[in-house]
Amino acid sequence: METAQDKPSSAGFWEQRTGWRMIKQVLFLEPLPGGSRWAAAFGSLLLFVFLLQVVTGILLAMNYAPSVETAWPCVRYIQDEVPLGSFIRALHHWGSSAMVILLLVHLLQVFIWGAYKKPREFTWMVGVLLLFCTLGLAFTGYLLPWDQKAYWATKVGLGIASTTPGIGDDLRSVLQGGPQMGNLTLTRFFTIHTFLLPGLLILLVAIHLYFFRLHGVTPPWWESAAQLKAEEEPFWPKQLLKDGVVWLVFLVGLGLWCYYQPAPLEAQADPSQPYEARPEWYFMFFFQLLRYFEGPYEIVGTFVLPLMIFLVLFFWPFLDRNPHRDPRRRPIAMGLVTLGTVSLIGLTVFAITTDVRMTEPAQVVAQAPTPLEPAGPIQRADVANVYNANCAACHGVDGTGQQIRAGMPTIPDFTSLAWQMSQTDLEIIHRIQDGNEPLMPAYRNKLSQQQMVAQAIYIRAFAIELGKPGAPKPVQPSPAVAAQMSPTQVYRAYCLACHDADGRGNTIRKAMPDVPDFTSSPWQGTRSDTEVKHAILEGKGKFMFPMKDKLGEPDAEQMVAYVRAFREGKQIVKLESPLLPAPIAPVQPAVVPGPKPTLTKPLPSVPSAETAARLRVASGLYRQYCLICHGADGKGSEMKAAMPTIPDFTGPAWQDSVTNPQAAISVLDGKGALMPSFRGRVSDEQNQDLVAYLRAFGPARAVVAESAPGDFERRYRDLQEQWDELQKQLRDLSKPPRK
Amino acid sequence: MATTDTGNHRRTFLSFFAKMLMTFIGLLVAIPAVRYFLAPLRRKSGGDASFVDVGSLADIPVGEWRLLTLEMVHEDGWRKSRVRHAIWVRRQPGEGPSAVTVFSTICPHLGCPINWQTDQARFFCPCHGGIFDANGRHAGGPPPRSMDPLDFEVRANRLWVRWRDFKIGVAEQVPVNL
Repeated sequence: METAQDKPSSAGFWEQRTGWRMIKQVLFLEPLPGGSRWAAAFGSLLLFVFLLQVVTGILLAMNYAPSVETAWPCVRYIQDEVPLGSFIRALHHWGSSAMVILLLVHLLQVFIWGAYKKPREFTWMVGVLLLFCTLGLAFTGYLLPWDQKAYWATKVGLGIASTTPGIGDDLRSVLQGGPQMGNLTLTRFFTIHTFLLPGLLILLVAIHLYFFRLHGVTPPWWESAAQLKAEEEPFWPKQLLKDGVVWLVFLVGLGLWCYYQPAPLEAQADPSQPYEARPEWYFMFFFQLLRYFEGPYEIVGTFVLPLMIFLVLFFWPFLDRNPHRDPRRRPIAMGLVTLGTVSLIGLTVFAITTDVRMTEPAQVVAQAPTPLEPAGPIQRADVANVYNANCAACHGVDGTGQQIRAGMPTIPDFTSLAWQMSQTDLEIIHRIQDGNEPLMPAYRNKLSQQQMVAQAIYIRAFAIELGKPGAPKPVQPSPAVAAQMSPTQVYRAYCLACHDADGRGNTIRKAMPDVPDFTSSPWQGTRSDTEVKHAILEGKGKFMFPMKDKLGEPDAEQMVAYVRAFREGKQIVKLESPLLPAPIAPVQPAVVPGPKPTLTKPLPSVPSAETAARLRVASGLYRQYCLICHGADGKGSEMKAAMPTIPDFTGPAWQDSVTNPQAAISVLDGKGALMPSFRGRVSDEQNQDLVAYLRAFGPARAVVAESAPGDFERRYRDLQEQWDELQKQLRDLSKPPRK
Repeated sequence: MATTDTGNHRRTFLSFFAKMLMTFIGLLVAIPAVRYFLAPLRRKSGGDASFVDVGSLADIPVGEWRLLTLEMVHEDGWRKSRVRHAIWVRRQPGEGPSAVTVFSTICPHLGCPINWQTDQARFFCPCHGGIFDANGRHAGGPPPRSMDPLDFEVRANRLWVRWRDFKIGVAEQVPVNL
């Protein structure tokens, strides 16, 4: 009957070198009293699930970096971009749930079977340790995606740990890695989850299996020893076949489940966002339990009871002195286990069904966080609330930002017209969206596109609130225009077109050979501050504008310092790439109850948002690159003397003689000796819009968004009218909820 | 004898069936796992990188090898990262692109960074002693080919270079698609 003797020749080589026959004998040919059984497949199924967790866990770890900045993006990357990533993660996620269920069922089975009785007490005890090890794995693995659920569930879990008498706070600190949850918590949990606990688990499984093999499968209690002996069968192949069938059924079931049910990934953890934390379902009984212990008794729920449960479970083989294994002859044990099981299931079901939630958490399945889209056009003037909640802390309720200007000198004053005119709406929206770290945070994940547009309008309105219609602020002497702009803004508006973002002026040098290279040390060395200032204020050569009508003396000195900073290429002006925002989704007055308002009247800047935004982009581009030569009015009259061939965009001569593609090509490739190429600075789409913008200079239209200092007052009144209109609409919208 | 035969047959069949079943389960787990593991192989190549501005030609002294850096943004797993690469650039007297030479600093032997030795007027690889002459030609040591020239353009008097990685250890210059 010995298989090894069947093929002595082939076994010889391996047998001599590995002792394979002995291993095979121990692992596969051990006789099972009573023969193979389906019931015995349970433990091996657990081992299989654990191995599956190991395999999927290793795969996930391959694409994971535990830190606050990377954890969530990594998991999203696994979900969205790695081939089969979503499936593997689902297997690991749901596999852990399955493992917990199977463990409890296994425990129950062993209990009813009486398999913990002499001589198998230690097998049971190691099994109980395995159960808690697995729960530890579930708890630590939960944090790793660093989404809202992970963050809050762990926070509560750590809170529970901190109630441990005596060492609670220290225990929490050790687990947490520091006084707060953060990077160190992630690295610790990752290490515990991937090295410590799995290592411990493998060790315990080995011990568990050793005891199991030492004492053999617990035979059924109803069969006599002689009967068991008669039905004895080796583990291989019949028991393994049964195990295999169970594994396969489980694997196919889990696979199908995971295929249709991807593992959830909520929005990235944000402690500032309210969240109704709930643990994973298998901890829900505990969650429910904690509701019953109040005040000083809390510790009973968080510490005493769990400890008691553990101790009773662990030492149960020695607490239960009843020698019988037949459940009918163990009424106390059976009563206890029934009570335990029923209360566990009951509490879980009760907790889940009666769980009242204020709001459903924003479930994001395998997607970037989509900010909640509040209903209604521009959210019925939630605008002011949004501003007060998010912006007022720094920018002030009045928009001046004066309370923190001392500490943050670059904070803009929204009531300043100069600031208002230096920014396009799109620039404001972009600043809200992307922020300007580290000072200005990005709101892209906190506010919807519509909210940001609304905020931009709201910010615009600050200039009117103080300006008081009809009583314009005394207009300061003309230098005011640029005076309140930062040097970067001035540079961007007036210098960049020729001198380039890096101050080298290379783009235009072919046309203007005299343009200096600010990065060159010789140039910097041979020019005194006074000379540079003079050039800025009074202009220089044929092409350099005098700026004295836009800048005062001190501003010019600032600009000199700014120009100096280019030396050796140390400074690059950041181009605000005026990209289009994503097309704004049609406004749907969705869930919010209440009267279907008549004020769905669209706001002027929102409905045609795309066109308006594109025009603004074009106007921004024109100001940045074209205005310096072609002038605010498109006539190019100021440059005429130096560049006789400069076209007049307002005249029919140019408008009629140049086709759109021709104009577009001139923008891209430059024209003649003087017009530089803007390829790379302007996208194709922007170029088209720019051409459309040039067309607008034709008879129907006059002046560009940039104002020459002379018509400042007129522009001011125009803007004021526009803003009055905007504000009126804003007020209309805000009527119902405004407090 | 006959009964033992049947018993043996049955055992052999069951053994075979159990082995098949185990293999099948193993494959069921291994195939998706291996596919996930080998994901980098299936990654679509990003095509050629674009040219990057490395600076003004005027800043490069004529006839000298200069080590310049170019910065590129590339897809780096879950985020985009900036990577800097170094290049050797020399400008010879004269105008236009023919006067400029741009080499990758990566040694074609095993990928160490090559240094320029001014006193000996040659390139030297510090790892395994590869030597290249002042024109980047292989002059000694283990490297299988000369230094790798990189594509470049001169736009408005500035040097624009396209970074590329080449297969190391082979005699021909074969670009590696990244």
